[in-house]
Amino acid sequence: MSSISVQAEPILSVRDLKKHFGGKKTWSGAVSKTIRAVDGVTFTIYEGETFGLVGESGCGKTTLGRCIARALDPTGGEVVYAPKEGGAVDLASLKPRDLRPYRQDVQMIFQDPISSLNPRMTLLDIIGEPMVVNGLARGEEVKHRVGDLLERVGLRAEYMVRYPHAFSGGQRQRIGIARALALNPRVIVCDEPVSALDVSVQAQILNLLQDLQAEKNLTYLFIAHDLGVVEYLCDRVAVMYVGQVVELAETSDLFARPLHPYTEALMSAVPPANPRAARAPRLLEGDLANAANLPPGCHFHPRCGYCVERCRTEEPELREYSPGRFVRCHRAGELKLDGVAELAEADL
Amino acid sequence: MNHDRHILLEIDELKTHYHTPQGVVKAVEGASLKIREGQAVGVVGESGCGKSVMLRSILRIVPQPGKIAAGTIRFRRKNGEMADLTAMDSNGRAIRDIRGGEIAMIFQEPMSSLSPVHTIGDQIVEAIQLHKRVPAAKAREMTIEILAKVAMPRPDQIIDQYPHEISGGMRQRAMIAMALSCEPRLLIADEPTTALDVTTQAQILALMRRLQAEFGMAILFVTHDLGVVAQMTEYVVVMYMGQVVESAPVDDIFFAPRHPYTHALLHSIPRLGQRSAGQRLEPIRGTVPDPFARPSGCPFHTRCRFNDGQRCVSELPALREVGPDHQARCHYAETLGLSGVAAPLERVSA
Ligand SMILES: Nc1ncnc2c1ncn2[C@@H]1O[C@H](COP(=O)(O)OP(=O)(O)OP(=O)(O)O)[C@@H](O)[C@H]1O
Ligand SMILES: Nc1ncnc2c1ncn2[C@@H]1O[C@H](COP(=O)(O)OP(=O)(O)O)[C@@H](O)[C@H]1O
Ligand code: SF4
Ligand code: SF4
Ligand SMILES: [Mg+2]
Ligand SMILES: [Mg+2]
Repeated sequence: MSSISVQAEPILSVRDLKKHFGGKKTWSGAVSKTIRAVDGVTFTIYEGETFGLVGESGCGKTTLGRCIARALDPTGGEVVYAPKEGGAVDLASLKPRDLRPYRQDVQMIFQDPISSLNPRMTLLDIIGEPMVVNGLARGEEVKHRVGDLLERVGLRAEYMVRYPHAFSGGQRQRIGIARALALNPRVIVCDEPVSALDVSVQAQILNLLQDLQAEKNLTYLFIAHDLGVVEYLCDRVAVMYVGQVVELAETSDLFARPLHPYTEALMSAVPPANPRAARAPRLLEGDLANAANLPPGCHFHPRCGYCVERCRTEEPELREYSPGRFVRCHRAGELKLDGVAELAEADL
Repeated sequence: MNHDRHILLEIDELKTHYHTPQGVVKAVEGASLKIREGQAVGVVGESGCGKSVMLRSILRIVPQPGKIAAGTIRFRRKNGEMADLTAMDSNGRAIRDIRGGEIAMIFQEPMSSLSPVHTIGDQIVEAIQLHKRVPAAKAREMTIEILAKVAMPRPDQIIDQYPHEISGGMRQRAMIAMALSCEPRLLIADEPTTALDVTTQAQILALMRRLQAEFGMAILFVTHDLGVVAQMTEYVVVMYMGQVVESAPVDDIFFAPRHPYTHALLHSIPRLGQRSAGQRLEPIRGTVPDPFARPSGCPFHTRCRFNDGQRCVSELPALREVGPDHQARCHYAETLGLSGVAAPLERVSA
């Protein structure tokens, strides 16, 4: 877990990124409602860091990750990437042909290691094909590289002739990691890479991701909903609520002193893994707001225990509360919110 | 501590096997546990260790080609008599009266108990009328009441909706409402919140706790979330390869574990509030052995740090008393001096 050094350079600058679904005329002439899955996200990821993204199911984490890796075309905004050789390119606006040289630099690892691997391809094809397609290796050399990668992620080189079904969930996630590494990427979008895995296997995969990062100076965008994992692994964390970032901070600051009521609610909902801490969480009632029909004012206001009149009508902006700390709440700073320590203390 | 309460369910040396073309899978291979009236018992262990098969054995809903091969499951009926569920015909009247009426089960995926083609209300009304002789109008009234009890928003409207029209958290509530409609004395919950967001999970757990207090029902709770175990259960059963390897009050499991597997599980999981610089997780070494090739001796020996290379590989340890209300299945349980998890904050342990 590398704490980002002061001189770390931005590698990805996401500016007002948007992805809207629907809103198109259907054959009958009716217009479907626009779903604002990602609705104006801005943040910067520094080289070598692990940047966490948390939030409830459906809040837009995967959509955002896929837009950044250009597995989806954004509706608007920029994803400014700093290539190794210098300069800056906006991945969001490049035409597919111009995107080619950068695409291999940003790879993805998926939550579901079963459905993300083609069952009819051997590991050699799964991991080797992108190398061939991108002209990184040919013939025998592909085999060598695939073998090396398999060993690096804790599998045997001989396994390259086998098909994915012959492997356990944890092993399949290792295959997914080897595939992502095949093109020597600089950034990996990890979309819930351990959520589908057994607890004991989670630890092995998290350790592997940490080792690879240290070895190859990788940058991770780490999407997760397990706050324990995020706290353990990430340098900085962004909290998302219906398509927007509502808080962004260094991990230790965020967990010690959240500034947004939603962050506090998320942390309080995690049952403490200590039987002597008998706490009643502050329950967040209701469900995530509907991205096709957002409430006016602050999108969180119908569920917020600190809501005041202003929140119902005026939408808060994401503002820099203190250097490096961003929050989208009218009352940030004025509220005294509980961090993990106070939440545990409240248990007594 | 709970000895004043009657035993509600007692599983003794249960064996449930699957006869497959590749060989016999000993999914449950000698599991024993006790649940007292009103007690919340947690079951933990890696996937494939037999948790679900054990729970399904209780209700006699083990799918083909699974069969209970040995052991007893004794359950205290409403009239106080202890009945052996393994001796019942799995389609007979007796077990059908118990299912839903005295023991209810909820699952990770609510759609495994809800039908997509019937309204929430029709399904709960049917469940009520299966076990209670009440007219339809009365059953509908009871359904609205139970939906309100599980904190379903707008119960008088939701009752006429179909499962796909409501959110995942609401479906989970509907499934719980259906399970509770006949006031079971034992609720079996197989990872009921694993698929939910933490926010929804918190709502469902609070609900289960409240209902447990209100109805005085016992809960047998399978989960892999240590936070859920800590907050929801009084007593914990740890399983490995179809056997119970440790069972103890929840406080002992966290702070004074006796089995190396329990210890390893506790230390392999990141826990909120535990971050410290340069820390690394300690994964459990290796992987769960192939179910067709059970290791000799202690089944955990292939992954155990304390394997002595002799007794551990040749002799199966017995599940034995290692402390008050505390059992472990390890030759060296008393002498290993395993550390529990430290309390997350000093103040908490005060
Ligand atoms: N192809 C699509 N068409 C229409 N709506 C979509 C599409 N993909 C995603 N959405 C919607 O966009 C929103 C965000 O979805 P997304 O998958 O990004 O959420 P998420 O935060 O990754 O959730 P989870 O934690 O469940 O993975 C949701 O409302 C979802 O229903
Ligand atoms: N229908 C089946 N046929 C064959 N083996 C099965 C079947 N169902 C479960 N098993 C095996 O039984 C063992 C225990 O499974 P299960 O109880 O589902 O585990 P858990 O719930 O602890 O994850 C596993 O080895 C599993 O592969
Ligand atoms: S702006 Fe108002 S409603 Fe929104 S989070 Fe802040 S206090 Fe709550
Ligand atoms: S009996 Fe031996 S191998 Fe088994 S848990 Fe105890 S020390 Fe480890
Ligand atoms: Mg997602
Ligand atoms: Mg299971």
